[in-house]
Amino acid sequence: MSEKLLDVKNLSTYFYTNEGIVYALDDLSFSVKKGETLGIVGESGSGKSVTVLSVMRLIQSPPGKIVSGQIIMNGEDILPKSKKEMKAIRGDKIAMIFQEPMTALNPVFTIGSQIMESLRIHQGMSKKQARKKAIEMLGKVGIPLPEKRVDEYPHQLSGGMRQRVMIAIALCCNPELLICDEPTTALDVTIQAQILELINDLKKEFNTSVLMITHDLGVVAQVSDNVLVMYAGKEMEYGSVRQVFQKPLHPYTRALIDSIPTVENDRELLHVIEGMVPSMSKLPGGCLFHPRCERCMEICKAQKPELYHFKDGRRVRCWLYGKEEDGGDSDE
Amino acid sequence: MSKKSQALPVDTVKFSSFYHDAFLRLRKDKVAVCCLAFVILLIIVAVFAPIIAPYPESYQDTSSILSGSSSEHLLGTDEYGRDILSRIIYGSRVSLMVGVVAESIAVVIGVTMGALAGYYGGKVDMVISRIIEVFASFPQILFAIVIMFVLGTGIINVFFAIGFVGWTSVARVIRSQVMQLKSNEYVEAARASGGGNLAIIMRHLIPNCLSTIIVIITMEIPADIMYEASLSFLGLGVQPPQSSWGEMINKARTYLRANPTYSIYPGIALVLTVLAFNLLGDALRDALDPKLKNL
Amino acid sequence: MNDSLPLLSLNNVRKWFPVTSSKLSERKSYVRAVNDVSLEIKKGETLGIVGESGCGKTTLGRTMIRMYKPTGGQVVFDGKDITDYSDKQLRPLRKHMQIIFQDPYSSLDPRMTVSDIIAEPFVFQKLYTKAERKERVEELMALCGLDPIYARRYAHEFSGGQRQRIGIARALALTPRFILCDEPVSALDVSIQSQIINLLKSLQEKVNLTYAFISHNLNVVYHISDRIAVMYLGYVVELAPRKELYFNCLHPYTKALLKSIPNIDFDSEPIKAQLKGDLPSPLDLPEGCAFCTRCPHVKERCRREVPSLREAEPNHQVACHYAEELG
Repeated sequence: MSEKLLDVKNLSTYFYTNEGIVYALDDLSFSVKKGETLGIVGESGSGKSVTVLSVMRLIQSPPGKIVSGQIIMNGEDILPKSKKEMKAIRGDKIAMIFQEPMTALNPVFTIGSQIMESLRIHQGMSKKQARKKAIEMLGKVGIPLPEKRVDEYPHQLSGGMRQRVMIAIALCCNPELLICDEPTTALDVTIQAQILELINDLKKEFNTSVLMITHDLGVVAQVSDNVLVMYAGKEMEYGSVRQVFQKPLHPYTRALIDSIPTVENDRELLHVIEGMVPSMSKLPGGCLFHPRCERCMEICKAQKPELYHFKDGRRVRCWLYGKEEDGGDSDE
Repeated sequence: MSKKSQALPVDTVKFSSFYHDAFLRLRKDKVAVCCLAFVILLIIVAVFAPIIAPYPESYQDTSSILSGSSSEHLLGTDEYGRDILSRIIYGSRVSLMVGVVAESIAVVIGVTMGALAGYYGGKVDMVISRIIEVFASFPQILFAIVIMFVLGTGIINVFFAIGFVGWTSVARVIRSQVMQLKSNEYVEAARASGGGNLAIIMRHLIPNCLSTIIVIITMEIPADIMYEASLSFLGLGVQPPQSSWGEMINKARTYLRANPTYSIYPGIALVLTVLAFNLLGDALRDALDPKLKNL
Repeated sequence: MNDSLPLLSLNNVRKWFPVTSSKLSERKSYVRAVNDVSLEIKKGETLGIVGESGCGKTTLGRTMIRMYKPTGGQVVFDGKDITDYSDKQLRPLRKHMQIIFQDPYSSLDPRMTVSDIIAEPFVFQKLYTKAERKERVEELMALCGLDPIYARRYAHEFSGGQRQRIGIARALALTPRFILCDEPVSALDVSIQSQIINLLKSLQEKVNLTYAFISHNLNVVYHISDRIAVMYLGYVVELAPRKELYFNCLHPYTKALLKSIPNIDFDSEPIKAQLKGDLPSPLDLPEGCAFCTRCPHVKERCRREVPSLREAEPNHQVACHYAEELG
């Protein structure tokens, strides 16, 4: 049993806007062990991006604020850390890659200099050393002729190439945790396959833990060990990918899986989740999912379900579960 | 189709038009509200000048010439015994009319040229952009003076001179806005429904530039008022006995020793008005479209 | 239900965009977006068009409905050759061909109310009185699953899925016979995608529509199409009924594409990249088969000769010299 690298406890992030308070994240807890890949799945408004921005302490404040909780990295809570201390951590211990490689890369700097920047700041390398390492990293992420391309600009590369450069920047300082926020959503499916394969290979080589945010269940299934399903800022279900996808517990997870068109799911009308994701400033009472849930009961409308822990490590937040005979216990 | 999928949370959406939202945003800015109040006050003063002003514009009280503040003449009198306060009040009409009329002329020319250049691109854009550059490269005040020499003095000619000179900044901004807007899919949708070019420009592109146009107008009005003041200061604008703030400041130069406040009060009126419009323009820009912050 | 004449047919259609170069001495080069495409769409059918970025599917779609003028070849709609029609001649045809866009945000004018947006085609085509328009708008909204009481609202008050319904209502306003669906669900959440796909399917039956459905999502396309065309760098490389394509694909690119889809089936192999490298530039296509630079089975003939789209098996067209051997 490897130890926990990241342990997030009771994280709550709210946004104070003109229209009211947006409860983007409410009492979220999860952990990532060393070498593990955790996938966080959810649709728009689920809070998945806010989660990782909170972990990186990149929430714009105002209007956002991390209201409570702990983010424990290697045994140390990073929430109380100063801005200066966080700057040292970002890029070095925790690195992030984003969805849109064109806007995440600076168009006026060469790709080499963007990799070197991280190396020189965090590892104190000289220009010469950093350039050598940058070329090495470009080779590792599969960019052909890295000695030539290190001096090229982002606009000279294709989308897939740019994403590889982002991965190179993220991994060059050998971070302990790599956060990927929808890294392949903007890419073609054949390029996506290349990038996912690359992430899988590199995480083994660098022994990095990965936090993968996506709305694509297929992507999660391919790269993750465990998966956390989020809805409207709260955790709905957690388990290993095999468990959750083969035998989903929460009605939302089940509906999500059913509504994906696949080659097997043929010719009838697709399964539909009625209604829409609720507005974050006007959440329904009781269980957040109850207005759209096929199995909604009376209690679901009135009371919020707690997170129920199974003995095998699975968790689910639903009134359908939580009887003592399941052998787990309720969370407070 | 079940009702659930159509359900909009009706309670969260009250009457919400685009301009209503903008107004709510504007209301929060205290400075903006003050400026708006000032502008509205100015408009009221200008419209109701004959009622508000204590004396008619050209009334000469020969008993008090170049006198300072008194109970009869709150801000004093000028060299002909005319009440300065009243003349400032009447003068506000000129300033506002210049702002509105001159700017309207500028906007009509500028929006037309800018929209055509932005929408058609290519050769049309090339020709219109060169025309814009030619007009813009003249120092504006000099250009206005030249036009006044050609047209002759008088307030109507002032409108044309200033409007004709100021259209280039409108055109440039509208051109770039239209160039951005035309790549939106709703323009394609309009074409796919059989919409012609003119219909698309009038129905989709110009209305979407409206926020920009409002902001430009609000920010150019102070400049126009200053031009009028300069032109009148130089003797090229309004002709006596009509009063304008610039004209008063000009005349007051000669009598600085006798009645120093003669030039100060119209000056204050001018400064406050220009300031109010400028600040209001800033705030309107932020309220109407936060994305325009770099304008 | 299906007449013998196809509703839309494309014969050797080509669409190239000239690239203006800054140096006067350089020869003019072209972005070869669509190359030599011939296909037919039958009445009542849904033709799926898949491919990745740069394959030309968007350009092909726009050329099909004459929003672009083809650089070469012929576009025939309902028996009429519309290839060289002027804007004026096309205007009445716009009633029959419509388009649904990908982006629910930029496809609706933010300054217009929902009813203005849906009724705009009536304005352009000079149809109906004001009262008739109002009635028609309410009918269309109900047809697309929108409550007509929201007709006076502005587009920004609606969610992505609802905005897409507004776009669909607008496309239906002129009772078209053919609708080009350009990635209509790609920008939507997964749970909303299925709502919209179901809507499109039910409308097809109700209103008697023919669709061309463009997408990069192979599963969505499989679900909604009768036949599917796979595009690569402006060429149609395979064209077959959907089951044929998925279970018996012949072109190496189609094979790679299908294998690249990440799935949640744990009994299948973990994902592996099927293709190396990147797409060649559409400015500089290879002399022979467009796929020769990345094909794992490339041979000499592939580099020299462009394969034509031919019927390798009954009703199954492929553009590959060696399709039979590889199958």
